[in-house]
Amino acid sequence: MKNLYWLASYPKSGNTWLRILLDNLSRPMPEKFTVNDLSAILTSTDRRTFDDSTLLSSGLLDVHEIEDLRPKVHVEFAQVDHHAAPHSVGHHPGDGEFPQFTKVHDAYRYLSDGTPLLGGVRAAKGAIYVVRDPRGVAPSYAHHINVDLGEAIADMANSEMVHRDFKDHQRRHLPIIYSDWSGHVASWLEQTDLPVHLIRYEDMMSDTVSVLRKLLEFLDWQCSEDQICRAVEASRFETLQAQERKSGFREAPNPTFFRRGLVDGWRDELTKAQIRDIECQHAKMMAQLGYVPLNTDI
Amino acid sequence: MQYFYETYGLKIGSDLVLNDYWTDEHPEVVRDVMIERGKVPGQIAGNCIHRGPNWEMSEDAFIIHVPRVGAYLIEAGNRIVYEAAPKVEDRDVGLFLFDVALPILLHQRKVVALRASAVLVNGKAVLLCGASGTGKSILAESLAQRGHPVLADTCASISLGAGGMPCLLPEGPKIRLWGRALEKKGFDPVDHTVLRSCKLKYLVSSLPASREQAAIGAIYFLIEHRPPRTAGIERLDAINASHYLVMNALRPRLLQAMNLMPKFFSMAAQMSAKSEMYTLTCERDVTVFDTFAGQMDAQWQGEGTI
Repeated sequence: MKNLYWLASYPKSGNTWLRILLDNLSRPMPEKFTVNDLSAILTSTDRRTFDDSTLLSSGLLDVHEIEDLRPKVHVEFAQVDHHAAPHSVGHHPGDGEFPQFTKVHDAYRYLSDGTPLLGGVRAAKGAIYVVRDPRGVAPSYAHHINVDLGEAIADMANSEMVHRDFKDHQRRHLPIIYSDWSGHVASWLEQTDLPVHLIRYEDMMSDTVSVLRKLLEFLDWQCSEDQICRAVEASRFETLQAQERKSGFREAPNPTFFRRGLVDGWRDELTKAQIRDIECQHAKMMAQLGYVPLNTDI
Repeated sequence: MQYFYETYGLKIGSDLVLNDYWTDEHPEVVRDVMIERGKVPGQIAGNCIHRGPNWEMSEDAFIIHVPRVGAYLIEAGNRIVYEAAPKVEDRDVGLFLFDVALPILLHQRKVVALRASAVLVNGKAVLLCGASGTGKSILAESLAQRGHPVLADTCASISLGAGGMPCLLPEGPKIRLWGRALEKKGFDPVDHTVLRSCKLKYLVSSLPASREQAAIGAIYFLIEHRPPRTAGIERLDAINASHYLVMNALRPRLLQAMNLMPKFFSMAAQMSAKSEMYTLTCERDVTVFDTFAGQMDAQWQGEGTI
């Protein structure tokens, strides 16, 4: 099996930033990295991978038909090297000795026959789960999908949340079932198929080097302190933000992807009522992760 | 009941109505391919040489399963047997015959293909290649509205004509449009056949179309406008053109499994040498596609480069 790990998170929780850090660790010259050099993304819901593997046009399938096949597609991807396909070009973390990462926003779920949607132990060696304070996720998520904060907060509380699968046009990615924010986190942390390494976005912001060092231990990936420091320096939020301002970011659905990058930016973006809503909806999981509520009565 | 169709230069006999193809007015002609309902075995008979998540193949047979729709057995490049899942509409079974089984059969016949729509311009085929969802069909529809007949919409199968000239074997007269694009284009959905009840994607059949094989005059590779790319049409040199052709092979796994990569590369070299190649970078927007169609049409009219 390939040296494959899921890079899992609820949307807008620091997944892309961690991808950039890992990408820079595998580059000989991270100092020359700019944000549009980021390796072509591997995602769990990539249409092309699914279509190439199954020989079907996923755009003609409904969500149930797609999910019937997804476990087998993920297992095949991990087990078989067909995907050195003609379209697979450029540098990938995972080429050669490096671990390979697949971004995933799906909740960790099982199909009705008990098969893990993501293929379980046959599809990956483990998972890195990045979690972010849901009060920080909400404004970023609202901006990302271009909805108001109320709608974003409602999405984050919806346990049946499906990443908008439209009947009348085709999205870039296969439909994703997120679940609600708490359910998403729980699904990954409580599953027992795969070892999971938990990273808090806030810790990544405050001490990136330490977080990365612990992650590399989990991955059994040998890197020197110099490599780690150079990767961290090349992946500084302000640097990425400046690069995006100058030449854009090809993965950004909106004009700005690297928006604020503040741990507590939500304090001036959410109303008191919105903060209370989020803290009520996700109190248990927030407490478990050490996110302290402003409302002490919750 | 038998129905007679024509596609990719093949005469087809089928016991199922197939919406996408040309109707063949000469049923007395011997059929190249027969399509019939029957039992599809759970496993391939004989030596399985490749398999994927929902398919397996031997030297001359291929079985593929479409979840909750049915299974297809494709044999020797001339026969397709389909077995529908319970309560599935014939329309759905026919859709995957067109979209999945026929392209596999083409590969069994050693025909290579690009993922492309195509229209006829000044007697030559202009191919519009791109990943799923990049707007090939919308652009083809805009060009057809400007008088360039439709040649293909999903699969551009290529053969070598006189003098080694790559030629397109026409697919069918219809274009598939998603409901949102259809309405933006001003069509009334009730006038058009919906592909599946779970998907608001329609077959637009009111456009001019051609069923004549045509030499490939130009290929445009559609790319979504994302930074740092700039929008517009750019000519490709032969080396980059080959790269884009390979990226746009129809079902690359099939090419590998059926050992057709050498043939595809050879065909790509011929196309790079004998056809004009461009990238077309634009936003996924019906109005923008229409503007580009106007520019392309003006260029073809003015310079006669196709």
